[in-house]
Amino acid sequence: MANPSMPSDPRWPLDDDAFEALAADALFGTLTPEDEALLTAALAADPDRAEMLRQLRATLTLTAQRTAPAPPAEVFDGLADRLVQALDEPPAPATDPVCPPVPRIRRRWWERLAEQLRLLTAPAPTWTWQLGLAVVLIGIGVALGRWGAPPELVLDPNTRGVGPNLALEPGREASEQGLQPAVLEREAQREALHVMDRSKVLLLGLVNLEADDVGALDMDRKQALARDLVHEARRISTNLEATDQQRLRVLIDDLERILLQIANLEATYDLPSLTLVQSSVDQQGLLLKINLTQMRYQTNNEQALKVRNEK
Amino acid sequence: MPTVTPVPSPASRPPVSAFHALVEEHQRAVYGLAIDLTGNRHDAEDLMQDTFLKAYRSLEQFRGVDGQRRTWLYRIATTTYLNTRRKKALTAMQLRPDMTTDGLAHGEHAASARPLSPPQAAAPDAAEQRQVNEHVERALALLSPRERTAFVLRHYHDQSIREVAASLDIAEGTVKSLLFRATRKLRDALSFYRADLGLSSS
Repeated sequence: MANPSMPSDPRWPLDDDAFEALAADALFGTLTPEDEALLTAALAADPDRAEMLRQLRATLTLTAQRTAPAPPAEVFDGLADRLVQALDEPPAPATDPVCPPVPRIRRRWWERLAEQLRLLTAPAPTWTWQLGLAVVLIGIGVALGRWGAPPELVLDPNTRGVGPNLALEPGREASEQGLQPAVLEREAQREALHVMDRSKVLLLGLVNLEADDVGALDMDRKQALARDLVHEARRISTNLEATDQQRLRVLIDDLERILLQIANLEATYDLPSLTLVQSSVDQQGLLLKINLTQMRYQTNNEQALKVRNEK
Repeated sequence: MPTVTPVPSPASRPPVSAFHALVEEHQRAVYGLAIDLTGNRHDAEDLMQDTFLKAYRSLEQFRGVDGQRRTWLYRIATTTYLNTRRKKALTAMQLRPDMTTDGLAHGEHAASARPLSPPQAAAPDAAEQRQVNEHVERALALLSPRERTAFVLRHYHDQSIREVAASLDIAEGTVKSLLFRATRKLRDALSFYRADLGLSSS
């Protein structure tokens, strides 16, 4: 025998999707009488959903209190005339006859400059930017490898890449371990490259993050990794103090500051702070510097191997 | 993929007077939507201009009655906004909501770097209103472009679910889902308004 309290609607019992649709109707004033009965039954059967709906209603009441900022008067002064003037400006020669460029309203020079800077410093360039950057990086790396490498930058030829083959004991500074300066320097370099490699993965994940994806971000894990890397970076920076690798040390210090920012993010989905981290990475050209450094060391390593094989 | 209408030759252009009338009548509404979507004045101005320029190019193809022009302009603005966000998603993320028109720009980065903080209890009305505006703006900035667009069109610009669906080119059920998720995100982002939202104090 059917329970009289159960609605005969085929959507009953409501799954999450059906509830969300009905709740949205209720919140935004588009609920039909039939659906209202169904929703009422659903809310009576589930106090959690009823509470949520009440909170969402209150949220809408709160957000309705927002007043949009009044536009400055000059925005509308002669807008139609300016737009018509923009339409009358002769378009630049079009490369695509079907889609000529849209005539733009003339901007002030500082606005154009700001726009250019914003494009130049965009954390996630379009594929053309990325392609161009990759070509430039390869060119610079080859040039540095051929002509710019001081001999002291050469890594141990037995070391391939920047793997975790660490000779220094973690948590201890090199000077405490009684190692020779040359060995210290080489090991500190290798550790620095390893930290840069791990940090690069972390930074790339954050820099390429889109606003839509923030919810999917495992920020706790990233922050834990950032904390580990901060400790490592601090120790390596100390180890590099006594070496000739001061540029490398400066880069490690820059990296440490960014990692600290990430480690200290207060909210899991603190988008503005994440944006600040992205800006910092971008403004310092950190990823570019890491790439260049890695390429430089890798090229030197390959050259040393080649020289050794030729001998 | 959006189709792009070629710029009409002067001979085939719609009369400038009609365009003037269109701009004069709807500029404030379009700007209002643009500022709600972009959250800052400069992008809002750009979006408004792009919207009217695109409207001009297809003005003669518009077949609706006068009352539907605003919806038509909203649709152009929405599509333009979403396309721009798709192209420059991360660049747009760098922009900070320009909460007021009296020039918060110099402090935007520092302000937005701070986590949301609860409102002061005994603030005067104007300051309290400004604070609510600021908090809601920041909460809106946490929505995805589609969630924000759906919410802004329905909540602040009184567009029907069907009109929102048409603007976003999605099903009405998807609009409802976007609206629900958007409201839930806003509740979470504004959860420090415990008394207003009726949240428990724990």
